[in-house]
Amino acid sequence: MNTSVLTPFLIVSGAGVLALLLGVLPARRAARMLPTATGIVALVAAIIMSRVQWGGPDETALASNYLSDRFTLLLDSILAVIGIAVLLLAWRESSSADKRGEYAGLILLSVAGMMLVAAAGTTIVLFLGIELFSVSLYILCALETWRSRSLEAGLKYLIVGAVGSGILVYGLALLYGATGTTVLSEMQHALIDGDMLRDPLPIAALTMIVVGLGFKASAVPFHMWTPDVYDGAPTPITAFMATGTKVAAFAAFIRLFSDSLLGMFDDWRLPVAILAAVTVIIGNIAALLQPGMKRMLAYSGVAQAGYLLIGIAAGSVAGVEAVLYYLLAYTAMTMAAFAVVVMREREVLDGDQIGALRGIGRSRPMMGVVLTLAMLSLAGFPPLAGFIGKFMLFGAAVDADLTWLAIVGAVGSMISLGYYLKVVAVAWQSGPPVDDTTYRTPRSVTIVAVVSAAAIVLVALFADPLLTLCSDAAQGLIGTINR
Amino acid sequence: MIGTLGWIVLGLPLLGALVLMAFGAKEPPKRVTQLVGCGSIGLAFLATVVAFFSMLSEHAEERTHVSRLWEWIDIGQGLKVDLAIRIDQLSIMMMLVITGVGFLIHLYSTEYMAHEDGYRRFFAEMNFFVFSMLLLVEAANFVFLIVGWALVGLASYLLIGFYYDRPVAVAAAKKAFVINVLGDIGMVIACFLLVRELGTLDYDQVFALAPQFIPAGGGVALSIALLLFVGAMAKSAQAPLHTWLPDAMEGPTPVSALIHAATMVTAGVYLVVRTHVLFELSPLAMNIVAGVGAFTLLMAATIAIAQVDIKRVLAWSTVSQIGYMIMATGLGAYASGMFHFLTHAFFKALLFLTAGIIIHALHGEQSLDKMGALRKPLRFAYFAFATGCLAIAGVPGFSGFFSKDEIISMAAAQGTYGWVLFGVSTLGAFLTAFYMFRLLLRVFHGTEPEGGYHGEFHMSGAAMTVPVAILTVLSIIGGWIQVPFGWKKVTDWLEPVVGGIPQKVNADGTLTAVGHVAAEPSHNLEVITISASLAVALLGILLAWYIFANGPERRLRISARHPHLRSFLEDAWRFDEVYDETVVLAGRASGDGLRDHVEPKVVIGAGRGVQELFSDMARFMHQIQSGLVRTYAVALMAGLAAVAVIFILVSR
Repeated sequence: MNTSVLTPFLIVSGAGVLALLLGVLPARRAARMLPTATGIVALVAAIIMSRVQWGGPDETALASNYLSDRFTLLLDSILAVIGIAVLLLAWRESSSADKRGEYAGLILLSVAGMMLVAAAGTTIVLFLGIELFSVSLYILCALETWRSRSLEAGLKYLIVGAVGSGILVYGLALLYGATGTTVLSEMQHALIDGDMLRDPLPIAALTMIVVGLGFKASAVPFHMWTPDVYDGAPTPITAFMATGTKVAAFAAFIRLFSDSLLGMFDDWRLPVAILAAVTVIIGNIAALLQPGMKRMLAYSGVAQAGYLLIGIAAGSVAGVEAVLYYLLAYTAMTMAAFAVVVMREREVLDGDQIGALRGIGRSRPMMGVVLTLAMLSLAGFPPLAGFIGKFMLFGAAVDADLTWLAIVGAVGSMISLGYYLKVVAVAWQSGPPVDDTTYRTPRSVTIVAVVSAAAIVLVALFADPLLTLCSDAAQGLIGTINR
Repeated sequence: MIGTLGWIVLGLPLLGALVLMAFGAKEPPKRVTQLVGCGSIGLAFLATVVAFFSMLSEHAEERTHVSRLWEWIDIGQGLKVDLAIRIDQLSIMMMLVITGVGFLIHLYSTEYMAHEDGYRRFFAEMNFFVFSMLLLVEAANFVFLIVGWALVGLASYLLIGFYYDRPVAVAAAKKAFVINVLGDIGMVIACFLLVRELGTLDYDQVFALAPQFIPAGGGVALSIALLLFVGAMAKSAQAPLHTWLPDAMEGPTPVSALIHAATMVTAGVYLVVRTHVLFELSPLAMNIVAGVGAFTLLMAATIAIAQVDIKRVLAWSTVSQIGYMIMATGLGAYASGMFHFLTHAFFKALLFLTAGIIIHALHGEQSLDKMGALRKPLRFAYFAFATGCLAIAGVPGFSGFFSKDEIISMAAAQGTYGWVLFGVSTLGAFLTAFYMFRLLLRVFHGTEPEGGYHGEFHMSGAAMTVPVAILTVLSIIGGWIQVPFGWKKVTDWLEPVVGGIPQKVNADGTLTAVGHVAAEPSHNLEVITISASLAVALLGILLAWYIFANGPERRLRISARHPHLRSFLEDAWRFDEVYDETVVLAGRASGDGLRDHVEPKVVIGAGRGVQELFSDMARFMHQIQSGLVRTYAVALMAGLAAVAVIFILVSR
C-alpha cells in the first residue's frame, strides 16, 4: 500500500477544512482573501501531484478502497481545473462576500468528493464520494439565504437528491447481496462464480444503480430537478454543478458499468441506450423554449448527458475514450457559457435572460466571441471541440452496432442548433444595447471566460495528444477485465 | 510547389475575412474594405492560375498533389485524420471557378453594396464563404470535407440573413440552415459507416479500399451512397430538399450569384463526382441519383414558368440546371456534369449580376409585373441578359448548348432507363428555353408597366458593368472547350480522376470490375439527340415569343384559362405547405405540449404581467414548491419503474 497516491484527494479535502476555518478569522480582509487563495493553491498542488504520478504503475490504497490509475489522475486534474474556475467565478460574488469561508470550503470539499468518486475502488467509497459532493452542493445552492429562490433550489435539490441517493444506495446494497463483495474489481468473478449472471438480483441492482446515477447525471426522466435547481442556485455554483457533477456522475458510470459490471453488458446495454436516446430528444426539445440562459443551459446539460450516455452504451474502450474526451470539451464550453452569464448577471437586472445578451458581441467583441465559440461548440459545429467529441461518441456507437442511437444523437444535435444559434444571433444583433451599469467585471471572470474559450479551440486543435491521454486512461480500466 | 500554392489560395480569403472582422464595430474607409475584400480573392485567383499552369506542364497521371500540414487525430484503431489538402484536376477546376467568378462578383459588389449598411460585414462574410468553399473542394479527407461543408452552410446562413432587420430574410436563412444541417447529418453518418467498414476517412485510402471491402450492390454500399447523397441533395437543392433555395433569394443579389448559383449549390455535384467510387459500388444508388436529378430538373422548370419575381425565376432555373448536373453524375457521365457546372457558373452568374443591374436601375424593384420595354434604356443589360438566355436555352454557339446537349446525349446512350431520362431532360430543355425567354421578353420587350416608370433609372458604373461584360464573353466562348465530334478537353482533363472503373482484387489475384463506365453515345445518336434538343429549344423560344413579345394581353388570356395549374406552379408544387402541415406543425405541437405540461411554471410566468406575477408569487410559491417536488419524486419513481421494465424485457 502506498498512501502517497492519496495526495491529490488529501490536499483538496484538507484545504477545504482549512478554508472553512480561515473564513472565521476576525480580520475582514484575511477572511475574504485567504479561503479562496488557499483553495486555488491547493487545487494547483493537486494538479501537480496528479501530473507527477501520471505514467507510474496503477496503485491501490486503503485496502483497495482507493484506486490510483490513469483514469483517477486524469479526472482529478479535470476536477481541480473546474474547482479553480469556479473559485474565480465566485470572486466577489455577493453571496460569498460575507461567507467566503463556507463558499470556498464547501466547493473544495465538493471537489474532494468528486475526486473520491473517480478513485473509488469499492461501492462504499463510491457512495461516500457521491454523498460528500452532493451534501456540499445542497448547502452551496442555498447559500444566498436572503433570496427565496436560492433557498428553494437548495431544499428541492436536498429532497429529490435524497430520493435519488436512496435508490442508488439500495441498488449498491442489492449488488453486494448478489456478489458478496463491495470491491469493484472482484465483482465480475463473484458474479460468475456464484452463477449470478442471469439472476434477477443483479438485474434489480443494475436497475436501481442506473436510476441513481442517471439522477446525478440529469438523465431523462430523472432530470426534473435540474432546471429549477440550476435556475435558483448562485450562478457560479450552477456552473460547478453543470460541469463537476456531470464529470463525477460519469466517472461513477464508467467505474461501475464500463469496468466492473462489463460482464453484464448484454443486460444493461439496451436500457442505457434507450435512456440516452430519450435524454437526447427530451433535453433538446425542452431547451428550445427556454427564455432564460440558466434554464436553457440546464436543459442543454440534460441533452449533453444524453450524448455522454451514448458513449457508455457503446461499452468499449473507444466509447469510454470518447466520453472522457467529451467531458474535457463539455467542461470547457459549459464553463465559457456560464462565465458570460455570471458577468452579465452582475451588470444588469435579469442578466440571466437570453435577451440580456443582446448586442454583447458589438459592445464587447471578446465576450461575443467567447459566447459564440461556446454555443457553436455545444451545438457540435465542426471543427470545434464539441464536434470532435460528438463524432467520437457517435462513431463508438456505430462501432458497437448502435447505429440507430448515433442517428438519434445526430438528429438531437440538429435540434440543438435551434437554441444555441438563437443565442449567437442575439449576441451579434444590433439594437438598443442593454446598458452597462457602472459595475466593472472582475478580471477573474474575464480570465475564466477567455481561458475556457481558448480551451475550446485548443482541445480541438490538440485532439490527438488529448485523445491519447483519454485512450490511456480508458485502456487501463477495461484492460483489467477481459470480456 | 502546387501544394504550397493550394495553402496560399486557401489562406488568402481567410486572412481577408479575419482582417475585415478585426475592425470590429468601427467601420473602416470603404477603400480599405474594397482593397482587402477584393484583393484577397484576386490574389487567390492568380495563385490558382499559376498552380493550374504548372499542373498543365505535368504528366497527366502525376497531377495529384496531397500536402499535409499536420496530423490532427490519430487514435489506436487506425483512424487517422490529417490536416491536409488535395489539389488535383477536379479540385483545381472548382478552385478556378470559385476564385475567378468569385473575384468578379466581389468586384461587382463594391458598387452594388455601396449604399448598404454593413459594407465591411458583407465583404468579411463573402471572404469567409470563399475560404469555406475552397476548404470544401481542397480537403483531402472526409473530415475536412464536412468542416468545409458546414462552414459554407454557416456563411450562406449569414449572407441570406444579411438584411437581419427583415423578418423574411431571417426566416429564409433559418430554413436554409435547417435543411442543410439535415444534409450534414447524412454525410456524418455516411462517414461513420466508412470508418466502421474501412477504418479510414482519407480519400486515397477510402477509394482504394472501398471496392475491396464493401460488397458491390450490397446494403452497406447503398446506405453509404444514399447518405452521402442526402448531403448532396440538401446542399444542391434537389427535390425534396430544394425548398430553401428560392427563399434564399432574400439575400443580396451578389450573394445569390456567387453562393446560390455559381458555387456552393454545386457542391453536391462535386461530392458525387469526388466520391464516385462509392456511388458506383451501388448501381441502385446511381439510378436513384439520376432519377432525383431528372425529377428535379423537370419540376423546377415548370415552377420557373409561373414566378413573377425576377430572382425567383433564376433561382428555380438554378435548381433545374443542377438537376441536369446531378442526373449526369447519376449516369456516370461525371465529366459532362462538371462541364455543365463550369458553363452554368458563367451564364448563371451573368444572369444574376445582370438582374442586379436591372434591380439597381429600378431602385430595388424585382417584380416582372413592374417591368417591360426596358430594351432601350438598359441597352447593355439587354445584351448581357440576352446572351445569358441564349446560353442557358442551349442555342448553338453559346456555352450552354455544348454542355447541356452532352448530358442529354449521354442519357440517350444508357439503355431503357436512359431513354426515359432523355425524354425528361429534352422536355426540360423545352421548358428552359420557354421560361428564360419569357423572362427576357417580359423585362425588355412588350409594353411599359401600367403607370410607366417613376423617376430616373439608376445607371451602373464600371465596377458593375466590367464583370458582367467579362462573364458575357465567357458565356459565349466557355463552351468551346468541349465540342461534339470535335475535342473533349474537360473529359480528357478529368479522365485520371473520374475515368476508369473501380476494381476488386480477387483471392487469386485477378481483377473484377465493379460499377460501370457510362457508354459513349454513337455519332448517329448524338446527331439525333442534338437535333431533338435544338428543335425543342427553338420551339420553346418561339412559343415564348408568341405569348410574351407584345404586351400582356395574350399571357393574361392564357393564364386565366388555367387558374389552378397556374397557382399550383406559382406555389412551387406546394412543397412548403406539405412540410408545414407535417413536419413543422408536428414539431411545434410537441414543443408546445412539452412546455404546457412539463413547464407549467414557465407558462404561468410568461402569461401574466410582471407585477401580477410578484403579487401572486408568494401565494403560488407555497403550492408550486411542494407540488413540484412531489411531482419530481413521482417522476423519479415512474422512471425507475420504466427502467425496470426495460431491464426485465431485455434480460428475458
